[in-house]
Amino acid sequence: MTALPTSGPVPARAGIGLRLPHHALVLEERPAAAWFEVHPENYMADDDALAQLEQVREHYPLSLHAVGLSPGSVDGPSPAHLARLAQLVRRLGPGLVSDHLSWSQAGGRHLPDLLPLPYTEEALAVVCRNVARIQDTLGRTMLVENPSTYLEWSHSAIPEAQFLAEVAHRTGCGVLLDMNNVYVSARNQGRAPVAALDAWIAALRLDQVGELHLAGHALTHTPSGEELRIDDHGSPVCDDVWALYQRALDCFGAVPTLIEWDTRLPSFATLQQEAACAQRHLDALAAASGSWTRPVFANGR
Amino acid sequence: MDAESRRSSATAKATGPALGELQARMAAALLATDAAGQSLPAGWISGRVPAADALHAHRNTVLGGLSHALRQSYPAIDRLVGEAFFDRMAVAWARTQPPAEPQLAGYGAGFAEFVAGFPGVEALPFIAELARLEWQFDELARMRPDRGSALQADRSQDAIELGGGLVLRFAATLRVLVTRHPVAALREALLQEDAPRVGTLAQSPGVHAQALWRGPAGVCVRLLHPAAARCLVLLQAGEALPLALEASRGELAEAAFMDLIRADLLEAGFTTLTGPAP
Repeated sequence: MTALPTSGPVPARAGIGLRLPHHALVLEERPAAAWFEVHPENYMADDDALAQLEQVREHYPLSLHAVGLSPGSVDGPSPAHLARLAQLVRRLGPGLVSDHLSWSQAGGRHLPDLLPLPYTEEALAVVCRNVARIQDTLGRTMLVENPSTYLEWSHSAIPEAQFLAEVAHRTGCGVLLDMNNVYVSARNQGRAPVAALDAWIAALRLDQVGELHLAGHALTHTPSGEELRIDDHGSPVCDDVWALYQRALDCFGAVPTLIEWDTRLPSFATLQQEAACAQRHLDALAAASGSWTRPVFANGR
Repeated sequence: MDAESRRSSATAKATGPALGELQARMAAALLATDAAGQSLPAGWISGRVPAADALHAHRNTVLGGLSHALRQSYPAIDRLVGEAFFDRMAVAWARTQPPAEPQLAGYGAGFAEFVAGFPGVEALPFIAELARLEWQFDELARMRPDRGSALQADRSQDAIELGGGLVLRFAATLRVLVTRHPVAALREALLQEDAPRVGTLAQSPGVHAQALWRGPAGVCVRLLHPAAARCLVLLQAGEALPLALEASRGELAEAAFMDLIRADLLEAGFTTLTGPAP
């Protein structure tokens, strides 16, 4: 299959997570959007949706945000799934490709959740091995996203930020820093979100951060009555997460930023409004930064 | 923290389970049905949220995700039995048949047979046939309209010579379902929430034939006379036209039979007829 030219680099502007119900509107109206991000798994067995995405790609830069590579799995990524993703990457030429610091595959079964890793030397070796294999198969670098967590493993020995920073150092991958996940994980573990973000800022080099995510979450209670925040991507970004985002921009500079809203999907206009809010942060940063140019993540190969 | 500090810290920490064991046991715990099976060894999990609650949250995500995927493929079944009952069936099936691959479009083959034997559906004798129809809809909906796809083996249709230069071809995505219940009509009535019509159709067992194919705007359905369906199945299997017609006519008078062949096959949306203009 002849590879299409890349859809173009993803700009350091606010993009929108594109979901199937909005395909028709995007194709018919060509609304203002700096770039789109999709879950490639939604297009691997749906020829019709993939044909539509190829049309979208002709007009907008595209990012593929996978949820099924399972970089933390001892079993490694599913060879068939990795091959399907590689085919999509060749076909769509996305500006960015990413997945999560988590696992979903075990014993030949896929569990549709981003399950937590212990941060141990063994897990570090497994993740580095899998990320290297994924990058070799795709023929390009990828970004790995910090997860949202409900639990910690007692035998974790490496702080999360340093764990992912080490993965990036050893493999050359970049980091997708999800502000909502920083917040949700911190609150679920009883920690201060700002301190949690500062740990990421201290651990990562500027050129390792290739993308930022912004999303909403749900506040629930466990059966035993504990507060629990669920990263459900089903609501606007909350004020505390906007504040973390501003702090991240102040430290990392302008980074491609995505509005992630997957459940209880709102109108496209609402997503544009959220993206516009992120863009105002980016524009203010640009105005304040003058001619300073941040080092960018060395995408591709 | 440098590598040496990490190693010291790692030594100081409890050694904990190997990663493979942790992942295997957590996966099993998320799919287990009993309280003992749903837990992990004491001390494995720390943090503010109690271990059982954290696992409960992950379990809800996993089983909810699989139930949602099945609901997307079987919307009429969902309407038929209601959300709560559908979730019970879906979760029960998912626990025994978790997916092997990450993309969930295409997860659910075999659910129809599971549903047929699920306790509580005895009063719905058409449920298995309806579920099989829904699975066909699901596969066809994910195809492109201009050709079949890797979702099914390429069934490029050989041309059927009709004489006089006329050539007949059927859509590559065409499928024929012969059922004891009018499941295509039932599906439509369920999705339209037309309860009286559902009730009437549910009491109409017999021989019902449906042709399904992927049209430009979505999945198309056409009801067929059983004789036309027999003929179509024979033609798709490569039978010569004269033999297919002879084998499928049954007790029908020839004129009536040819009328329904013309209406159900030659003039159907899944048929392309090419050749010299009359």
